[in-house]
Amino acid sequence: MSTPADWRFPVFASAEVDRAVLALCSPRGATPAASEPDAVLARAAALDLFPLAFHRLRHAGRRVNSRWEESFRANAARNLWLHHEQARLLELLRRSGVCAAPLKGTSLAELAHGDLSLRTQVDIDLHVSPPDLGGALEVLESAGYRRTAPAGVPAARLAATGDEFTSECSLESTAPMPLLLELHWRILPLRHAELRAALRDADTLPPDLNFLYLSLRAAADRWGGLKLLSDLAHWLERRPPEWPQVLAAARRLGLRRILCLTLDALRVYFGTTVPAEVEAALASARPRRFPPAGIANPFEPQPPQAASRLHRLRLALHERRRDQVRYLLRLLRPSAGDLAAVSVPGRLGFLYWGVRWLRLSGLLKGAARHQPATAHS
Amino acid sequence: MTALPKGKVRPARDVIYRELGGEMVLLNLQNGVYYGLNETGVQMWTLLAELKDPRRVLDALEQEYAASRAQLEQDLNALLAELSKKGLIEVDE
Repeated sequence: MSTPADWRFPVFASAEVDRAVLALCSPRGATPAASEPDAVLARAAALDLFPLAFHRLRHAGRRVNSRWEESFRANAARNLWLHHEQARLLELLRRSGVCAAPLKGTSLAELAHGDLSLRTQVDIDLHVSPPDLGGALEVLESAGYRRTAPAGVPAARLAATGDEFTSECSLESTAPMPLLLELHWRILPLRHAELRAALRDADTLPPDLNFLYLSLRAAADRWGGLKLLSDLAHWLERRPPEWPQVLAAARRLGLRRILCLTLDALRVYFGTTVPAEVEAALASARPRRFPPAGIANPFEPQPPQAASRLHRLRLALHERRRDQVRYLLRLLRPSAGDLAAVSVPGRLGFLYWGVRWLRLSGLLKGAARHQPATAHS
Repeated sequence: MTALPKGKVRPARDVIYRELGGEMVLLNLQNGVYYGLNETGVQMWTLLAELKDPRRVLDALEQEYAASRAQLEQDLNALLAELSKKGLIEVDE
């Protein structure tokens, strides 16, 4: 642990090429003159920031290998397709009375950059309320999607699992092109009726909740995902959310610490300036101590975290005692992984509480079958 | 030189398009084939999507560019032939 008085968001030493990528992906960053463009783009691709870096370099008139141009166009075409498919699915869900909202993806690309080609996207992420999960799965399965993980778990049981860090199931479709879809049902520590009401009159999350949701995603990755941080920095630069609303929601939901650290990360990596009154309002949420492993180095590969360490880190993200207790209680409840690990008849569902204990203690492993790694083009 | 199609031209039914990253990206949802248009191509595509009639598109291009009508017609024809070959447009004869 760091000493109480001096904890600051760490600045990771980065190579010149990393600094060039950060400058290119900062809303106000200058285009680096000295760096070799192809090397910068290769690094940007490794950091999942290629489209934005390429776009900036092209606008600056820098000559790059034509393969980058083709990569950019392929990403743009893919995002166009994902956007189209997302709109189709949202319409199908809406017609069936399921209240759904897109998360991240092309909606965030438009919000942050005004152009859906400027971020990479591998899948479609949708949110539905837990009571709508069964209906949403039916609609998606009738639209050609197949549930892959956790497969075979009844929707009602699945809907009772998860927390704001983890609550999703994966679906895939193969026609006309392979596509992955993640369905989420518990994205914020918020009563689902409240979120449902917020979504009733809009097709996306309100800006304050969206900003907090994305901050929470950044925290779940220990601020090691530069793509999301860059998106947030650009969003703040283009159209800052109403800070009083964001602060009020963060206070209500117990997310002030996560918001504070996310703004720290934006400042460190992308030079984001935050209004002084926002900083002042969040000062008391700043941790006095924070586990060093709680912040990931985005420039280095991240080893997987042991579950126990991950839960300790997430506990440290909550500044209020009652939120920590809530997190621990939720931790004791059966998870989607428990439901997938063991199949228990409906009337014996209480046995999953035992499965949970066995899995938490490491005595029972997951049911996922190991398959050799493959690459797809 | 091949004459412009006489019928109406429109984006094929399964084609979606949008200006992205400074160029027009066209995507055929049936086969995943995508295509990028440069600045002139964007202008031609936008006019085609709006006016449908290649002759009216040619008239509009003539107003816009300092090039001969014959040159513009040749360029438009080449683009239409390429788009048609890739299944990105449909022509009502």
